[in-house]
Amino acid sequence: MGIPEKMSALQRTIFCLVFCLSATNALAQVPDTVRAFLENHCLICHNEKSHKGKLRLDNLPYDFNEAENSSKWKLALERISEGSMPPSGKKRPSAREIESFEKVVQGPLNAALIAKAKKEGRTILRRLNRIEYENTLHDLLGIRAKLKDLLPADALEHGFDNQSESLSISQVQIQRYLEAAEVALSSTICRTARPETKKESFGFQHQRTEQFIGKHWLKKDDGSIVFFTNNTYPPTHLYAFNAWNDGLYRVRIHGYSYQTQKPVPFGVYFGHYFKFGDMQLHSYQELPTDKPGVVELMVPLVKGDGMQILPSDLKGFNAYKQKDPDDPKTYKGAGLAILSVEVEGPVISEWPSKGHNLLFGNLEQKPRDKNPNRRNPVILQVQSNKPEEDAQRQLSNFLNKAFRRPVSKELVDVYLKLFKDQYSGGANFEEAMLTAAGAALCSPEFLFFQEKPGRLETHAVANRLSYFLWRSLPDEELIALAQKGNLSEPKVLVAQVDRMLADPRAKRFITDFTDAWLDLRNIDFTTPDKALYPEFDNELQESMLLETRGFFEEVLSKNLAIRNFIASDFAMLNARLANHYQIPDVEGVAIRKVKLPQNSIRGGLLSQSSVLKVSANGTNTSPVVRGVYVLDRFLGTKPPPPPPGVPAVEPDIRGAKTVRELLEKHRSVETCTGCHRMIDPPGFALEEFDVIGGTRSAFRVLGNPPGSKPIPGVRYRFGPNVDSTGELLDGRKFQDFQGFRQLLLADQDRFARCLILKLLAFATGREPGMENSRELEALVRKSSAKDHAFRDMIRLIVQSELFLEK
Amino acid sequence: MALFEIVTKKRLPRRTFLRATGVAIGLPFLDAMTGAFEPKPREIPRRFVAMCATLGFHAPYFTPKENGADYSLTPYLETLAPFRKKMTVFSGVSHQEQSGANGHTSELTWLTSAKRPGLNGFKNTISLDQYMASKIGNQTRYPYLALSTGGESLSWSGNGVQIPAESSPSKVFKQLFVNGTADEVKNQIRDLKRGQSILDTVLGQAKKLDRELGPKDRQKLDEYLTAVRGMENQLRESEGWTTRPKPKIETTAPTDISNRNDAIARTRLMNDMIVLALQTDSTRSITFRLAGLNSVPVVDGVKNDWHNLSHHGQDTTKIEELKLIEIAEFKALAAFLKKLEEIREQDVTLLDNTTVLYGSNLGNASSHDWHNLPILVAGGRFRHGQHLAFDSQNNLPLSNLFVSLLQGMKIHADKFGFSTASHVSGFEQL
Repeated sequence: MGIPEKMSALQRTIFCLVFCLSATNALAQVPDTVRAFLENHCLICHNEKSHKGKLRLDNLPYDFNEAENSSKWKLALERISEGSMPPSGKKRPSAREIESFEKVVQGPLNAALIAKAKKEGRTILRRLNRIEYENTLHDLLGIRAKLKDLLPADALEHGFDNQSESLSISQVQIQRYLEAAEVALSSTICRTARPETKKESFGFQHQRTEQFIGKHWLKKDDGSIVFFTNNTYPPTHLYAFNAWNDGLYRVRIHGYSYQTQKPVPFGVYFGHYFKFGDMQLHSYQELPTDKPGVVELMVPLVKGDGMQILPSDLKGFNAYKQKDPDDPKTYKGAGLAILSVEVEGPVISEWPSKGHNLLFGNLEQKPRDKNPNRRNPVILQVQSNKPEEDAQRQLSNFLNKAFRRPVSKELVDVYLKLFKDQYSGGANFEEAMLTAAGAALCSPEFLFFQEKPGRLETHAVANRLSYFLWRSLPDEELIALAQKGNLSEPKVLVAQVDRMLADPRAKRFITDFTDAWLDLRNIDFTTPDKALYPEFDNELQESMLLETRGFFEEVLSKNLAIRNFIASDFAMLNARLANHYQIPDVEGVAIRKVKLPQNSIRGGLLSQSSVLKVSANGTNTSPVVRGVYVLDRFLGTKPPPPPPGVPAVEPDIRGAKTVRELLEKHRSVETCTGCHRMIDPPGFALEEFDVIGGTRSAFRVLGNPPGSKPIPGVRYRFGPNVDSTGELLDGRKFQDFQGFRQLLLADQDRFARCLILKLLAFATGREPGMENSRELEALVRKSSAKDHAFRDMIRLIVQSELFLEK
Repeated sequence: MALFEIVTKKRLPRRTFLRATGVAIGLPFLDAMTGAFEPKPREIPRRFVAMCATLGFHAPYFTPKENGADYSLTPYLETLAPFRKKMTVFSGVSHQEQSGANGHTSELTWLTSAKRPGLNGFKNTISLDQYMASKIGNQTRYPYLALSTGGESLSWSGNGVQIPAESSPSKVFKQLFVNGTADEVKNQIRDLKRGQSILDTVLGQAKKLDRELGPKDRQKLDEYLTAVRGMENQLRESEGWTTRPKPKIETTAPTDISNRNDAIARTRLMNDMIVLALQTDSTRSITFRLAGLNSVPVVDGVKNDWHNLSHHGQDTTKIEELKLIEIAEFKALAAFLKKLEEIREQDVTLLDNTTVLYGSNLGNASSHDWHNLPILVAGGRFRHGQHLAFDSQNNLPLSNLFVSLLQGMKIHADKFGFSTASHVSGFEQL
């Protein structure tokens, strides 16, 4: 206990006596250095009377074998190491005190944690998160029903939504699992004859839009309709088309870019015409300039859905002018000409569906009703002459697949019993089977990973691998290798990683991992201010995601060194991004690899607009927020949250002062400076980029700061200049972003360690702790020997103890 | 019923398991009090509604300058002038340690008070409304409603799972007041029984696993077992409610407002459903998340994206535009309170029996500051009519107020979350 300073010697003695008596003799067993630290810095709050944060340290036994004790010591150590304890306003322990406290406690604590992990496993019993749940059922049953949105949101732990400890289960989840299972099963079962696939062609000439032709749009002799603006009015909906059934459609858009040398990009949207906000962007596309071309898309649609085509950067002309409105016939600017849209669907690859076959094999189906008619069309029902035998066989097939491992006869019997009860209780064969299958989908065998402490058996390895790289259940090859028992052999593992990464399902890994690691899932969390960033549009935002995912994929598939994530001599760009980055000679909507000019500020992840957008708020940027982003996601340091009672720096976009200047005051306060010297510098370096990833040498402002001038065509002005200089905690200085990037490159092991930790957290459902530093360092060393090539890193990770043990 | 290989996006097969019994709303409990005897004259129930506007309110237009009863009305409170005597304005309150994974994560914990939202090791705790529902939820058809204008809810279960939100007023209406046909009721009951058989099967199987697990794993499995058992009970009890008619009301079913950007109209329509739910005593614990938008809301004079306006960076034109939106939000609240006030219950009004907690998880949305939250409590049995200002440097824990609100519901409590006291001084029960 920190002894109150204003006490006389006698008071002190009495205080100590009383205090020491009140604490149990637990404290007596604590080593001297640790006890001294506790007494000087902790016990004033964490004692018998005032156990702040529900933590008492005065009676905490120095015995790490008890889980309850060791978790408290761990918490204390973490908070002291990160600097959030003792809280601000209390006396700071010296660096030497902290170091010796850490040194003494760390040893026995690590030993205890390792022993515990050996006994219980590092990862805790982990359930599928809702993305994994949906992927699993999609792949198992061959369906596309939206299941994810039926389930409660999964808790995020440091950006990851698949962490074993925070994935809880509540009653509301069970309710939703029951419902989602029903939805999944009823969308896989095929109760009609194979639906007919129709093909039809549509144009934009329609009674709803007839009035716009000649005024806004041009009708050409070849039958095409030409659009000249990216306005949403007149509506460029394909009103003649409505999806005639649920299913997958092949959509072919015929047309060309009109009166231009540069293809006109356009967004293709699908959804209900008259439900506001229902139209969802599918993708950006383009058509050739010289001759008619075609764009083909495969799109899942719901009956009644329609389509919209919206040009992206057409300036167009004004048909609303009061005097002498412009005329589409005489207008000389660029346009988008659509000849026709050909639609074919529903496209069915397998009938009955994969799930239907899995559940019912080739059991015969017969019409359910005696007299089907137009109002009661033929509904088929699965028949069985040997219900028990058929059920036993089909359930066994189903459970083996759904539970992702061989199931025992006893386990099949559990579900067979449910089938029999339902069947004998009056349900027909099909209903009783669906009930049994529904139960399986709510069972722990389906919902949880099955991992036993120690070295994982091969089926558990197959599952871990598969959910890591495919985010879904293992396929037959993985299961066969697990069955054979040699999946965990290094050679086999490496071959499987390569095979899996070459599979289209690996896209899910790229999306989900970058969503968590780089926070890309929040790309649309803010909309940039229109007055400050008039150049922003949806096409740019969509391109940002494609860029970063494409870049990640390039490094992964080519096995490039991870230093490319920091700085690279190439970028993945399309015309929209290249224009944004002022890089010449990139055309078209498709993302492709582009060699960057010498000394380009682009290259690497930190200069990509997606990263710069998610680390800003749409109006302004904060070096603190961006600094934390870089530290946590690239350097593996989680800065402590600001101490209670410290107000956040309030940005001021009127233009007088930059956030950096406002921060200076804050940084000069002694309690703040320690952390901010660490947090802010990376954020200072990123000051060269605005909220949408454009480069800047001065801040855009909406006020009229002295000396600023109006800029024709936009509302903003340029305010204070950007200062992107800084000094890292270790004293190394940088002059600008590129200088900072060089400093990052100088310590690639640190970045590698951070990335390995993130990958392991994602792959195993738990981030390795300080007790795993030995294995972690071994991984970093091995990775370094391979120049930290990214695919090699993943190969090494799956061979590591941290991956192959629970 | 979906008949095709691929079912996409929005629409789901028509008949799903528990449609009958309620989806986002939680399942009904059987009223244990029903019997053949003449019921005792009932005590008027106490109800609770919590509403959180997640993009905050511009504090200078909310918080009065003066403390106590004689405060002068600020622009936002002006809209609530008729209820001055029936409400208390709080300032200088917040939850502790809310720096989280990003500037908005404090909305996860507005009703829970759990610390460091979204950071390593974070696990949310039970929200105030769910705690109330666990104590008194079995007295009404629905233990709670978790509503939202869009996106997630404010409600969290005991082990930190977010309760999904319902954002369609017409679905709420249907659930509360529309009785099924005889065939539908028959199917509902059959499905409830099927659901019970399913849960019975998995429960039996899961218990066998228990033996093989270490302590931490067992805790997780216990969560699962408890959840399955709880669900089984609810399905069983739901059978009773399924055959009992729902309350009869005069109002016709509402039509949902499809324009996502018309947040104010959506709020008002849902508020009407809340009034009906309270009036018919269909539930006593309701949360309503007033989600901000990353787009331009339908409010006269507003041309800019709402979220963007909230990051006004002191730009006065932005603040004035933001004010238009926030005034509209407060007017919707005023209309809601007026409806509650107009419904008589014995010798008081529905407002007197309903505690309405209104505010935000952000004190200054422009800087994502989670201190000094704008909070007001209207209705319920409290000595209202004042501005209770606490220390703006050293805030009063908001969960202290939650303890008072629990007591206001006649739920015995002396702490909640990270509360430091069993009441808020100056905020007395009547």
